[in-house]
Parts: sequence; structure tokens; C-alpha cells
Amino acid sequence: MEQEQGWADLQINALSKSFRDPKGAQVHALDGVSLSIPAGEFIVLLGPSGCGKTTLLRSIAGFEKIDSGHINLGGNRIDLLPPHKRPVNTVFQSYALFPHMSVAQNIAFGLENEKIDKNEVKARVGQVLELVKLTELADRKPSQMSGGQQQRAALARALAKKPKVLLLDEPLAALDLKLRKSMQFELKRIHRATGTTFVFVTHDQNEAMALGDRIAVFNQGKLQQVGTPFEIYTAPASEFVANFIGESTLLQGKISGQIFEGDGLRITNLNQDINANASAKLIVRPEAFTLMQGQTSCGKVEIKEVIFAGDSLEALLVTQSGHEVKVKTGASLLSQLNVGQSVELFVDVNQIGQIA
Amino acid sequence: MRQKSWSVSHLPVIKPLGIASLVFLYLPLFTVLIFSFNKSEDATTWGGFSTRWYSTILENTDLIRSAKVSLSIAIPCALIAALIATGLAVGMGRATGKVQNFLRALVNAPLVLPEIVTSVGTLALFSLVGVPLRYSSLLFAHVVMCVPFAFLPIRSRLRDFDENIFEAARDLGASSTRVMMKITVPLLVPALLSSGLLSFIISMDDFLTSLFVSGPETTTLPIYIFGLLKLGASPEVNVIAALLLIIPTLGLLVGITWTATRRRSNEARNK
Ligand SMILES: Nc1ncnc2c1ncn2[C@@H]1O[C@H](COP(=O)(O)OP(=O)(O)O)[C@@H](O)[C@H]1O
Ligand SMILES: [Mg+2]
Repeated sequence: MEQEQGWADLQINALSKSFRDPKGAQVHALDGVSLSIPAGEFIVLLGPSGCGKTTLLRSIAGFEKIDSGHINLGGNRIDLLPPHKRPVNTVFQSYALFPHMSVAQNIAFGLENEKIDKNEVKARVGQVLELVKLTELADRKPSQMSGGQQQRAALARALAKKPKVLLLDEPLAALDLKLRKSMQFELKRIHRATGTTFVFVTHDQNEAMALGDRIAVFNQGKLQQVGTPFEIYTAPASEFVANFIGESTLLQGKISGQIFEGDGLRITNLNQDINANASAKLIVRPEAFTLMQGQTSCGKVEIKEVIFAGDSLEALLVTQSGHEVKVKTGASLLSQLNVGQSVELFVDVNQIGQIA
Repeated sequence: MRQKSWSVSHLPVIKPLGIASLVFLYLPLFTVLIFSFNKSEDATTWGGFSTRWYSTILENTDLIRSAKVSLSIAIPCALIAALIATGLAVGMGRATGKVQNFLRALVNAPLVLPEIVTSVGTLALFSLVGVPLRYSSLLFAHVVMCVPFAFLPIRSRLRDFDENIFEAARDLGASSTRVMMKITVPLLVPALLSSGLLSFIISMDDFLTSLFVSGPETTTLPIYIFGLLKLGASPEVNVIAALLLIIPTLGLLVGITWTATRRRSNEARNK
């Protein structure tokens, strides 16, 4: 299926929305969120439960009245339009299929709202059913389908409208792990086939990594960082992002003359992009550390725990000042490492990130 | 040894009490059924089998008229009450928090009020405003009485739905009228049927309110039966009671068979 309605960038500008909790206190679900999403992108909104992801999606769809800010699509302001006038469609987490209609009728419902010619409706229903591989089940009622099939039906129903932006709120959360993995591949395929902008919400960092062209990380209603999965992983902008995505060790200390000293470690030869600072914070991923000779030495550490993970060893180490360091290192060292032993720790200085 | 947990059902009196209450529930029904075929002039002594009283009541014009009055109230009452209840239930779904709780309390309160209070109140209101006691005033009183009951199945059905389906319909470009016509109403049909049926039965069966609010032209069936009893137990009363038992039971059986066949043919089609 080709994108027919022209390309349209989605621009979210200083969006704020607060609710009152049952006790009457204000909850800032969205707190000055600005985000620009180019047409055709697969962007993932990632964050812990309650951080405002659903609220942002519902604001784009038009189900939530925003307090301030605006939303533009292809240069046109859409945040004042009612939901049924916005060229965006939603795949709900609960699927929200109409229980009294067959899959084909569910899909046709959206098209009949547009006064499209009957034959055209039929053709488009056929097309999207094929796209999501549900042609065989066209006449089934939702209650007669598995969760995965209902998921596809909901996707087809939204895609049939040829939205400029497709909004997906944790669509895979209710599926079991295996089905979820295969649906991730399906979603990537469908995204490529349609060229539609996908805004996908999840709280699962692995899913975000697997799916997103870019990931936008949220916490407590605020946008923390936007970037490709690689950027987010290798250069987290904050402690929150570093901890939320993957594992990492935070080192606090003093940097001067490209030398870090703190938390019982001393790292020399730091990269030029690491700034001198009297109270610096460095983020190091477990795989940037190693216990094998060769990289820059950090100092002596004691082994607290070693876990064999097949292709690697995961070790928990303690520095001389008692700070814990997580390391992922070559599995070949297994026989040489014993709990309680003192070893030398090395680091790849090119993989050290700095946060404010 | 496993120790059984104690519960009320282990009290030694529970079983005989349960059996006794079932007997007392069904014994009068059987008695009435059997005595409706009594030959005797006396309603309470058995004088052999006969269907004579069934033909007698067909010629009883007062009885037929009161049955017609009851039906002409109960049918429109069921329709109107179901309609009003739908509006209330849908509207209440849109309200939030305290407003919703208040509305729900307002609608549910009549369910626990003694009927005598509402019927006296209705009569007082009618005479205060000067409404004559005619068909329309009786219908009005019945509708008011039925709405809280009609409301229950519809509200509970609405709450069973995934709330998102209404948003999904809007999201797919449907105007609010189209959401109502294509999504809300079709999904509510079963609840509308039970709500209408409930109102119909309540209206047909009602005595107190009708007694207060009916005029000479609007004697309903229950009031007529009560009048018959005042002249001593007549065999006709047994026949009427038996008919009131048989007709709804038959209706229910037909309904159940119909839905069962429909479901089976649906399943067959989907295979
Ligand atoms: N309708 C609402 N009324 C009150 N509070 C709400 C409402 N919707 C969301 N919230 C609050 O706003 C915050 C963000 O919620 P949400 O957007 O659903 O988060 P997420 O989807 O990231 O889990 C939460 O604290 C939630 O309790
Ligand atoms: Mg959510």
C-alpha cells in the first residue's frame, strides 16, 4: 500500500496536561513536552508506568483536552479538532474491537464514515486484511479469535483509514513473549509496507530497542531524551535514562586534565569530549569494563559475585571505597575468577558517557 | 485429618428450612393450577375435573376489560421506561466522579423506598397539580415506578463494555449520532429487551400504585382480581392466576428455545 495523502511531520509543542488525583492534588501527566516526529518515522515512547505516555497519545488522538501547548500535523494545527476529524488513528491496548461486528465489518466501519464508494470500501478491507494476514478470518467475530488475531484486526482497522499517523498504545503488552516477538517483526514489516508514521508506546526497553527508529524516553511527564536506540544506549543523557535502559555503573568524582578520580577508581586518558568538573558523573555500561588486559586500567577491585551467562561473564565488583561496579567480560576468564579475589579493572575510554 | 471449615450451611436447621421454603413457594402455585380445573362452585373444595371456569372467564367482560387496561399500560410503559433508562445510563457513563455517584444514588433510591411512599406521593402530587386520574396519569405513574428497575440491566451492560470501543468509534471518524446508532444501540439490544420485559412484568403485576392512581375507567387486572376476592374466593380467581402463571412461562420457554436455536445456527455458520 502506498502512502497517498502526502507526507506530514508531527510537531508537538510545549504540551502540558495535569489531572487531579482523588485527593485533589495536581498530577502533571505531561509537563512541557516538545517533540518533532518526521513523517514515516517509527518512534517509540518509552517510560515507566504512569509517566504520561498514554496521556500524550490520547492528546494526539483528541481524547484528552490539553492544558497548554499545541500539536501540528503537516503544518496544520490539529489540537483543536474533535477526534473524528483528525487524520490519525489509534490501536488501543485493549484492541477495542466492536464485539457485534465481524472483522471485515469492523474495518469497513471506519471507511463507511468517510462516504467512500462501496466497491472501494470492499477493496480496501481486502487490502488491509491481506496486509495483516487475516484474510481467512474476515467473517469471524472478535470473540472467536485469539489475542494475536484480535491485535492484527485492530491494526488493520486503523490502517484502513490511511492515517497520517498511527498511534499504538502498548499493543503487544497482552501477548505472550513468543507471540510478542513475532508481532514485533510483523509491525516492522507493516510499517515499511505502509510508510505511515508510527507512534508506539511501551514500558518495555527491549521492545523499544527492537522497534524504534528513534526512542523518546519519558519520566514523570517530562521528555528525558530522544535519539536512536544506539544513541540512547551508548550516550544516555541522564542517570534516569542510563538506569532505565540497560545496566550501567554511575561513577562520581573529580575530573581534571582528562583524569577521573572517585569512587575508589582512577581513569586516565579520558576522551576529549569529557569535560573537566569538580563533581563529575560518568556512566559506564557493563561491557565497557573488562577484566582482560589491554584497555586503560582503573585500579584494583574485589570480586563479589560472578555469573556465567553462556557467551559472557557478568561480575559484580567492589572498589576500594566500597562502590559497586557491574562488568560484562569474556567467558574465557571463568576458571580464573574467584569470589573474594582482588583483580585489576580495565575500561574502554571511548565508551564512557558523561551526564550533567 | 482434614478439618472442614465451618459455615452457616452446617447448622442442622438449614436443610429443613430450605426445603420448607421451597415447598411453601411452589405449593400455592400447584394448588392454584389444580384448582383452576375444579368443577365445584366453591373455590376451595374439589368437585372433580372440568374446564368450565376457563370458558366462564372468557365471557367475563369486566375481566377482559381490566386485562386490556393492564396491557395497554404495561406495553407502552415498558417501551418508555427502557428508553428513559437508556438515556440515563448513557448520560451517567459520561458524568464523572461525584456527579456520577450522586446521579446513581438518585436513580437507585426508589428501589429501596417502600412503594406505598412513592404511590401516596404520586397521588398527592397529582391532586395538588390537579391532574385527573386517567389513562395517561396511570401510565406516567407506572413509568416513574419502572425506570429505576429498567435502568439496572442497561447500566450493567454498558459497564461490561470496554470503554475504549466508543472512543475507537470516534477515532475511526464516526459522529456521535453514528456511534449511538451503529455501536451503542445494537450492543444494548439484549439489555433493552430485559429492561423492557422487567418493566412490563412490574407494571402488569403492580397493585399499590395502580390502586392509588387509577380511576373508575382504569381498573387494572390486579385491582379487578382483588375486587373479586372481596366477594369470597371465586373459582374464576384460580383460573386467572393459573393463566398468569402459564402464559409467561410459555413465553419464556419460547424465548429461550428461540435464542438457543439462533446461537446454534450462528455457530454452525461460523464453522
Ligand atoms: N483521567 C485521569 N484522571 C486522573 N489522573 C489521570 C487520568 N489519566 C491519567 N492520569 C494520571 O496521569 C499520569 C500519567 O498517566 P498515563 O498517561 O496513563 O501514564 P502511562 O501511560 O505512561 O502509564 C498518572 O499519574 C495517572 O495517574
Ligand atoms: Mg499507558
